[in-house]
Amino acid sequence: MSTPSDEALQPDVTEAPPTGVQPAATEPAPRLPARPAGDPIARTLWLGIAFVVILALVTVAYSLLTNVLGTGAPRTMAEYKLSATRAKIDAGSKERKDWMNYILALTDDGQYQVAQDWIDRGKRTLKGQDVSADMVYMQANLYAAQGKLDLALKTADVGLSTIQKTHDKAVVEWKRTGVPTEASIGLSDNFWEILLLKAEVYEQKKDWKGARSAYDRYLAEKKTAASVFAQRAAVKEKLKDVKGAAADYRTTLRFIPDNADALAGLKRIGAAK
Amino acid sequence: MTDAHDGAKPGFDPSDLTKEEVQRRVEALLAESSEKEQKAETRRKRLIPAVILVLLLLLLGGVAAFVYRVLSPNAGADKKEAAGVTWVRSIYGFGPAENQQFVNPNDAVTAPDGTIWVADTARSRVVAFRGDGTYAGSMLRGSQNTGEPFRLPSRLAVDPDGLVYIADIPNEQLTIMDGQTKLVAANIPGLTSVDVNDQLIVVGSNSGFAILDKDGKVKKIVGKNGQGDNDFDRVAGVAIDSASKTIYVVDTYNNRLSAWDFDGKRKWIVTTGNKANKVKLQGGGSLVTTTSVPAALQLPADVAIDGKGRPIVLDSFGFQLAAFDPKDGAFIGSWGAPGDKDGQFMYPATVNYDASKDWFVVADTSNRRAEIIRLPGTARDGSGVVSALNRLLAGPLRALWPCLALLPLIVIALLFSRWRARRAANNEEGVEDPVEAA
Repeated sequence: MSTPSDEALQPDVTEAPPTGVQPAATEPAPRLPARPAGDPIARTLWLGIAFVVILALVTVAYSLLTNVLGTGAPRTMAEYKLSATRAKIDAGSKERKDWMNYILALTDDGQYQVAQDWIDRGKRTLKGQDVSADMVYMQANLYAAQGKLDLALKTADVGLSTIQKTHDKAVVEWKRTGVPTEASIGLSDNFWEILLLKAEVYEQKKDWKGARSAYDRYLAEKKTAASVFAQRAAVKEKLKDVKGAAADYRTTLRFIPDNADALAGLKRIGAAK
Repeated sequence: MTDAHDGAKPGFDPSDLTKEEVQRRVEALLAESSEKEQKAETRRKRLIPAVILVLLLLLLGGVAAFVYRVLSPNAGADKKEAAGVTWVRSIYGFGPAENQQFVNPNDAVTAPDGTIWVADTARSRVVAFRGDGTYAGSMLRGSQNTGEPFRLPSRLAVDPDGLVYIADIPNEQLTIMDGQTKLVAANIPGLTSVDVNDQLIVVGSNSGFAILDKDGKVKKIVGKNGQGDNDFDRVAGVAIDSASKTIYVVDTYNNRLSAWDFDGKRKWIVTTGNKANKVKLQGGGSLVTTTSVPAALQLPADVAIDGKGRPIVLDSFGFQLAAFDPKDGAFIGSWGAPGDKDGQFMYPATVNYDASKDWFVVADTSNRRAEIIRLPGTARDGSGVVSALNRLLAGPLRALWPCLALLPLIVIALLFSRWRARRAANNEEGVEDPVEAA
């Protein structure tokens, strides 16, 4: 005899017909129990992961096949200069101009550590550094690019005095022996470049007197440097030397009649006519 | 009857319950515990893929941002240095080697599919690039020795079917190329420039310009060499505006810009600066370059038409681009500065406008590059968003093209899986599927 509790434990036979028993034709077909399905949200998430992975792989494959990552060709002027100057260095050039151009390109491109490495290497290997102070000039330029303005000025002074001393010594030697050398003929071009660098660093420091002094020294020698006259004129403007600025702007216009900086400067100080 | 949940109440005595109630309570407790376990399991099953998905998206986003940053160099002269020009990117060649880079790119034009063709004149080749500046895999090669299929490609034009028209200036020959196949070459004395649309070919020469139909039959020849009002002295640039049926002509040494209809009748002509063929000197041997002409161009070399239908003239020696009013040729403004920084120009030769992306491609010859730049206010009215999107997808983000192409498939797959799930749910509930019923 079964107790009520025993009955409760029995399966409900009315829910599904026994196997092999066909339902009456008039009764609706019995519904099969639903297949236990996984969580649809979890399934969607896994599907999403699969889609993302597939899309990422397709993107990578497409990028590689169609050169999205580039062909190694330069994309900016800095990269172009780097590529052009690097080729000469790679070819084994020991020309100081080639080294300077490469280091300038590295500095312009913001590769300061690499530029520093090549400056150090140049100091060790390039000849004639006492004559032209190329690497000292490059060092000052690098400091200026890095914003180390005081260091840039100090290094620039070292470069100027190195070139000047070597030149003076060479002139004495020339007089003594009668044989001219590269250093005795004239100051290296770098001397003037370093002076311009100094002027620009002083301008960054808003030391207008320092900038004017550097420009004065430069223009005392380079009397046809039209655009530098306009640069000095701008500094004179800052120093409220309107007359001097107007004279410099006019000098620029004598060489380049439509120089935009000079025309704008004259207009600014009310001396356009 | 005591509730199953009040078992902890003081005074509760389990012996008060019948066996049946105990069993029911046990079953309820078991069911509750099983439900809790099931919920925890479900949570765990959802948490794992959710975390993976989020981490994956973060990782991919980070990698994509890094790659985009690397592929988009932060260059370009500042606004003042570039005098209003916005630099997009430059193309120097198709590889890192010296012989893969340009020597003197003389022209750069955009094809209807967005391909930028650059004429690297000294190397006798015309090279195809994508909008992001990468090599598109096509190159038309000429020969300086044989002149076949061309000798020195100097000016280019692309028609709506993608045919490339090559003006071989030293050879005085206009060569049409369909891919690697040469279709036709016409001898045109004093050839200097070319432009083409779906109906016409316009070629400039030292003494005027000619309007030809697409079969190369001459419809009209305009001008003779000279300095008079109806004369020309080197037409270095021509541009066809199909919308307004206007041909713009740059008369380089006479320093003039003129507009013509398709029958060769002049609409207007303006002086754009001092004549280069009538040079005046001032004290010290300097050229007189000051002028009362508002545009004050030094040597107009080419013309393109912007999205607003305005002729944009390239001033090769003034290192700038100047806009003019298409109605009467009145000077509107100019942008650009000399130099080698990104966005500056050094003796540029030609300019071309891509309306779909609202950008210009300038053959910046002495800087050995083709520059893609933008000017303010040149987009066609109402096309700002579309052209911005086109520009984005023409850059490094073009890597997303396959994803965008697959997106509709993914949406269809999702919709299908939802439809299947709904159908299964309906089946469970016994609701008749309307599709099956049908």
